Amino acid sequence: MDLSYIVPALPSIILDGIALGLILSLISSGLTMIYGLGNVLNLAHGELLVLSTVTTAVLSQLIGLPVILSLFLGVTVTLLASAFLDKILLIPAYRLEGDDRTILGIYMTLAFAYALHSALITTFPNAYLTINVPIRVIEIGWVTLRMSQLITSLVSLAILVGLYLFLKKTWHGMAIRSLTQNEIGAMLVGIHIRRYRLMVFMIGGLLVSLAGFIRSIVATVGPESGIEFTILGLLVCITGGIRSISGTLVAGIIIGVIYTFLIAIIGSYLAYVLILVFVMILILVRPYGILGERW
Amino acid sequence: MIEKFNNRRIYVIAAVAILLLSLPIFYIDTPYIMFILAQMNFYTLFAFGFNYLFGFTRQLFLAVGAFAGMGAYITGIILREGIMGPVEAIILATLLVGSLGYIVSTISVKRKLAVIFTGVFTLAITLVFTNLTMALVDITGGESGFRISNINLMADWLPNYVSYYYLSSAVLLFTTIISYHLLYNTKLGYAYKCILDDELSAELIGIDVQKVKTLTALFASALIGFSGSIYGLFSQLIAPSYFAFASVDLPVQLIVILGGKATLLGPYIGSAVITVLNELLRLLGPLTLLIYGITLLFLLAFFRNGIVEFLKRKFETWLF
Repeated sequence: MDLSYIVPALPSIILDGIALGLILSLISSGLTMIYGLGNVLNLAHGELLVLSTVTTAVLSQLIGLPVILSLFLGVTVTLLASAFLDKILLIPAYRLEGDDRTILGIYMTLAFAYALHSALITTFPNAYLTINVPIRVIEIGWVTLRMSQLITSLVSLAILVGLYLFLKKTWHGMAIRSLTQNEIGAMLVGIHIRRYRLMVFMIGGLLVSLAGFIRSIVATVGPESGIEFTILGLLVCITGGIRSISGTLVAGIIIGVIYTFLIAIIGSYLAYVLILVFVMILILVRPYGILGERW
Repeated sequence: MIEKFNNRRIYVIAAVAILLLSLPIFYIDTPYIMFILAQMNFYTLFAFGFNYLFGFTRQLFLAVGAFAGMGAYITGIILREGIMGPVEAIILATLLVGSLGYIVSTISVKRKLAVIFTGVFTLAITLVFTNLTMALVDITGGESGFRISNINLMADWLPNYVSYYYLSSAVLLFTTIISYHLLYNTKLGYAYKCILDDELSAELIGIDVQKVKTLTALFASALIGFSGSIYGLFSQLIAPSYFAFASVDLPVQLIVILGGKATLLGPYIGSAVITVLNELLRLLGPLTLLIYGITLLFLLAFFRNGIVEFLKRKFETWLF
C-alpha cells in the first residue's frame, strides 16, 4: 500500500481529528455527567444532538427564520426534550437502584431514541444542517490549515474549559461533583439530588446541541446520524473513564485523531472496527479509563 | 428441586407443545402467516438464549444478533463453498459460537466486569461483526449479503417455510423440556435463584458461580448460534441487516423483558406479543416506527417485570 499521499495531508488530518475529537468530548462529557449523577446511561444523547440540528435546519430553511434565532430555538427544544427525559420518562427507572436502574434506563432511553429517530427521519428526511462560514486557508510555513476546523476546535475547547471551570469553581459545580462522588454524603449536607439531576440533564442537552451546531460548521449533520454520535460518545466515555471530565477531553482528542487517521488509511468500516477493538481491549486492561477513577 | 406443582407445569408445557404443533393447521394455505410464525419461533429461540444469559445469570450480552449472524455466516459460507454438508456446517457453527460465548463470559467473570461493562463489551462485538461483514465484501458479499440455494433439512415435499416452522418448533420444545428438567428437577434451579438474589452469598454457600455463569453462557450462545445458522438457511439470504442490533437484539430484549426475565414461558408470551404488535402496526405506514417506539416506552414503564410475573402475582403463583 502506498501511503506517501498521507504525509502532506497529515496536519490537516490531525486538525480534522482534533475538531472531531473535541466535539465527541462535548457529547460524552454530558453522557459522563448524567451517568455519574443519575446512574443512567443516556442512549438518546446522540438523538438529542440530531433533534437540535434538525429543528434548526427546518426553522432556518423551510420557515426562513434567521440562523441565530433558529439556533436558539433548537437549543430550547433540546433542553425541553432532556427535561422531559429526566422528569417524566425516567420516573420508573429512578424508582430502582443500582444495576436495575441502569438497565431499565438503557431500555427507556433506547426506546425514546428509537421513537425520536423514526419521527425525525420520516417527517424531515432532508433536514441536513450545514452552517457556512467564509472559507479561509491559513498557511503557516508549509502547513495549510482550514479556517473552519480551527474555529470549531477553539469554540469547543472554550466550551469545555467553561464546563471545567463551572464544575471546579462554582457552588453548583461542586454540588454536582459531590453528588457524583458520594450521593448519601452529599444529601446529608443538604444538596437536592433531583434538582441537580435535572440540571445535569439540561447541561448535557445544552452541550450536545452546541456540539451539533459546531459539527455542522465542518460537516453536514443529517437526521440519521444520531446513533453514530451516541456510540462514538460512549466509546469516548469508556476510554476517558466514566465520571471523569478531564479524561473525557483527552480521550475525545485521542479517539478523534486516531479515527480520522485510520479512515484516511483503511476506510471507514475497518477504522470503526479497529477503534472498537481498541476500546474492548481497554475495557479489559483499564476498565476505569485512561484517567478515570475506580467506581 | 421437586416441587408440588410440577404436574401442573408439565400440563402447561404439553399445552404449549400442542398449540405450537397445531397452529399451522389454520394457516397452512397462507404462506405469509406461516413465514411470520416461523420467524416468531426463531425469535423465541434467540430470546431463550438471551433469557439464560441475562435473565438467569445477569450477563448482559448485547451480541445476540452478532452470535446468530456468526452462526448463519459460518454455515452459509461453508455451504456456498461446498466444504461440508449442511449438518456438519451447522454443528461447526454451533461449536464456534458457543466457544466464543464461553470465552467472553469467562473474561467478564474473571475481570469482574460490572453488568454495564459486559453490555458495552458485547455491544462492541456486535458493531465489530456488523462492520466486518460490511467491509469484507469478497467473503461476505458486503451490504447486500449472499444467497444460499434452497436447503431443506427435513422432508423434501414440504414447502420451505412449513418445514422450517416445524424444525424450529421441535428445537424450541426440546430446549423447553431440557430447561424445565434442569430448572425444576436439578440443583441448577436453586443455583440460578441464589445467583439472581446475591452472587456473593451464593458463592459463600458453595455454589461455583463462575462455573455456572460460564457454562450457561456456553450453552446459551451455542443455542443462539445454532438457531442463527438454521435461521440463515430459512431466510435463504444472509445479509448484515438481518442480524443488526436493531433487527435482532432489540426485539429479543423486548421479548425477554415483556415476557418475564428468568421464566420459561416468558420468551413464548413475549415473542407472541411482539409479533402481533409488529403485524398490527405494519398497516400504519410511515408512522409505524414512531408508534412502535412509543408503545415500547409504555410497555417498559408499566410492564417491566414481565407478563408472566404479572400473571403470577394476580392469578397463579406456580406459573413458571
